Amino acid sequence: MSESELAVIKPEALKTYIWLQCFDGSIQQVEEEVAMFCPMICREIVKNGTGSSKNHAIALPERVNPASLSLILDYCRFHQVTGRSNKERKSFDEKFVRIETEKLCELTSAADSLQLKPLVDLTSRALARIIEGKTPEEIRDIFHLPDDLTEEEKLEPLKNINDDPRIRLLNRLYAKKRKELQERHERQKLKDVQVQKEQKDERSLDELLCFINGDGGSGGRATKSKKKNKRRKDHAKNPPKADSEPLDANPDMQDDAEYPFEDADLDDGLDPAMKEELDREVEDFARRLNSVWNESHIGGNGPVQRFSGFNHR
Amino acid sequence: MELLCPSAKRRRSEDLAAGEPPPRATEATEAANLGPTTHSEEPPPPPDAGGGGGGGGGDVDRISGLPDAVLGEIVSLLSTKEAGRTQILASRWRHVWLASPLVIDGRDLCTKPKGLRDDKLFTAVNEALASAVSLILSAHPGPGRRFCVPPHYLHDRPATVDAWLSSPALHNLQELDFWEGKHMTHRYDRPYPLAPPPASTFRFSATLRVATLSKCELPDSSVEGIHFPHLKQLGLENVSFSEGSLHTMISSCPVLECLLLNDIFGVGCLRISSNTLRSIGVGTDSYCCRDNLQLLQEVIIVDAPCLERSLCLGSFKPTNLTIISAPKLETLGCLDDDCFERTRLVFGTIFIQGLKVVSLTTTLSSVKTLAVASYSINLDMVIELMKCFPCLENLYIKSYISGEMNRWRRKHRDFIKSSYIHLKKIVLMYRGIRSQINFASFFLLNARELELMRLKVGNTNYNEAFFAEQYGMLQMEKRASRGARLHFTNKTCTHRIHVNHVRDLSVANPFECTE
Repeated sequence: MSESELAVIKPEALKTYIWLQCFDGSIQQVEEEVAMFCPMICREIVKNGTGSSKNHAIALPERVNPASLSLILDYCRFHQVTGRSNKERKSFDEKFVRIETEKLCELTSAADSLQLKPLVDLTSRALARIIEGKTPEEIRDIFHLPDDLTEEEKLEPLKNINDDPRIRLLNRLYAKKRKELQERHERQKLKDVQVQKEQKDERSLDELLCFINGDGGSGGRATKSKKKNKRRKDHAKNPPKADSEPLDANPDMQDDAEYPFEDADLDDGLDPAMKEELDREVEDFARRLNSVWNESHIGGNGPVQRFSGFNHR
Repeated sequence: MELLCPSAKRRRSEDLAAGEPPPRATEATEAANLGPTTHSEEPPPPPDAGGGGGGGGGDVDRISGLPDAVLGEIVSLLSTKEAGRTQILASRWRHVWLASPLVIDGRDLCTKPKGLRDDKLFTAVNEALASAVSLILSAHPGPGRRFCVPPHYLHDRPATVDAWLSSPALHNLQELDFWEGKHMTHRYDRPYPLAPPPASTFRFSATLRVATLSKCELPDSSVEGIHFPHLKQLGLENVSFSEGSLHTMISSCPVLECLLLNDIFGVGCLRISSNTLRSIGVGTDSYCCRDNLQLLQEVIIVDAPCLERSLCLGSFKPTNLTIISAPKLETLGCLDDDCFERTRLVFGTIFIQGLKVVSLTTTLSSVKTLAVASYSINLDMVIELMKCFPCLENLYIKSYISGEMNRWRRKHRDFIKSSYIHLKKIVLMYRGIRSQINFASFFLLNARELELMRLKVGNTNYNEAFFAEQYGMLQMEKRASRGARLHFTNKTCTHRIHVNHVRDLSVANPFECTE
């Protein structure tokens, strides 16, 4: 677009436009209500009166490059519209930050210099999500960070933690437990198929019983959400190995280099969905027992049916 | 700013001195064309200096140039472990964690193994966690953003907790949680006597935004005279109050939006009036029984003009709910008839016991989302509930329908003729038995606004043949709403409600499984 074309007033430009200039000299024109969404730009317009014409374009901070500016204006353009639902905005935001990491960093920088806090928060969260769960090498790789700390400097923050005797004891116990479970896992693998079958059979039998008794629904394990975990049914597991292995210090310490606590995947070898089911079954059972127990205690006002074991009307 | 090692290259030294990196535009073009960009005269970095950040032109570090405040914010969003780990990323990052608001979440620091029954391991885990927390607190200058430790620490090591809460690292703390999440251990232990938390707990009353207090006692003396001017979310689990102290506590939170009450003792009835409350969750749990203390079983919402969600978190014992005025109440559930003494719900003139509508004079048209669960749920029950909430749009059936045939053509002919069903979304667990087919087809054939019927099926039925068969059985070709879709899923999460922490009360729809 040449400058003269820009100057031509088109019918829809009953809107006011604001002129913005990036550090590299490029000038951009944007609707006023969109630009005003940025606090820094808003202040410039209101206090200093700049931006109303090309010659008096608002000088944007260094950290705002044209690519980031264009993204920021898209963001402003979407969010400054009042009618949108929270769901829409959230959806837009989620898609908005799905860009290359490099661009994301630049965008964060630009948004920060324009003091557009909601966008800074959004991009910060996105960057945090990228960093979370990665090793330092991976993080350095993604963000091209220089690996400029000495080995000493790297170990320093963790030194105190790794020296703590209680933490070392825990790591030793974790390692031991992991070995136990590894062995149990080998044995469990052979029994797995059989166990699965057992579960299925049990459930349909239960349903049948209820059906026969003429009542609706233990067909489904409808249970409440619980924040707390429950004991598993014992039949699905082998008893843990006896505590007879000696504690050895060195091999366990190897993994402590990065951080003291290891994510001990102390799994029983059962598929997690299955585990939750079992937990809930136990809880259900306990609850039913409790309610039956309470009724017989109080002397019960309800119909006689209620006292018959599992049946719940 | 510390001295950089000679190997730290590119414009890093200038960056840090100026506080801002030079214009990106020029650098971008240069990088594309030329190769390594250096404004300094020094030679490109030796090959071993960059862990991946090698001499390639496009590999520029764009994140370290962000101002400290922003990097600090990013680090404070990481889990406790990761946040501490950023210290060893690079020299620029070495002090970011120390300068950012501190987040300590006990669950991040060490994963407690599930189904923990090994006492030795349990003790070791807790000892180690306590050590780690102490170390982190002594290393960090503050301020504090979030502090979360298991509630049993209040009983097991109260002096340590007091020391932690008094530490300068937690200065201006915004979120305090005595909470453990899903992995609570030693579930079946006898409950220990509850004691007041250390006085230092209330040191942050002026800055707290989110707080969860559990396994403690809050008598009048603890809460008197304390104000929580910024507290928006308050969770109270397994807490014992005196008759007046619960009320005092809630009244001292002028901007409270979310309130979670689980296993509250010492008070039988709670009356709430709040101009700001948006979401309330109430429940009882069989494993926290205390025979010598009165259990909160009656909640009366006298006036809550902003209340949108009233949620039942679990009913070992019923928590009767009476709502006198909550004109914006939109989400209700999960209603159940688990306990022998059915939960009593009163909304104005609507009286519901368990899942049975006992009486109805004036309907509640604000309610749009409802979740129900029962061992013997049937269509009649659901239709009665729909009569109470005529504008219902989302219905979640959180238990299997079976038993009664649910025949409706003759029985509910009048209802179909006289009422307009506004339902848009129905979610139910499905096996394809006759009672379920009848139930589902009632809605498919009569709900003219229906958009989605989600059927949760088991893995054996999760196949195209079954879907095709059900399409026919449910008479989809005769559906009342042309836009209605059948969606089969094998993700059968049987959680009735997804609320573990008071924060979850702010989720618009807690019945949706988001995993």
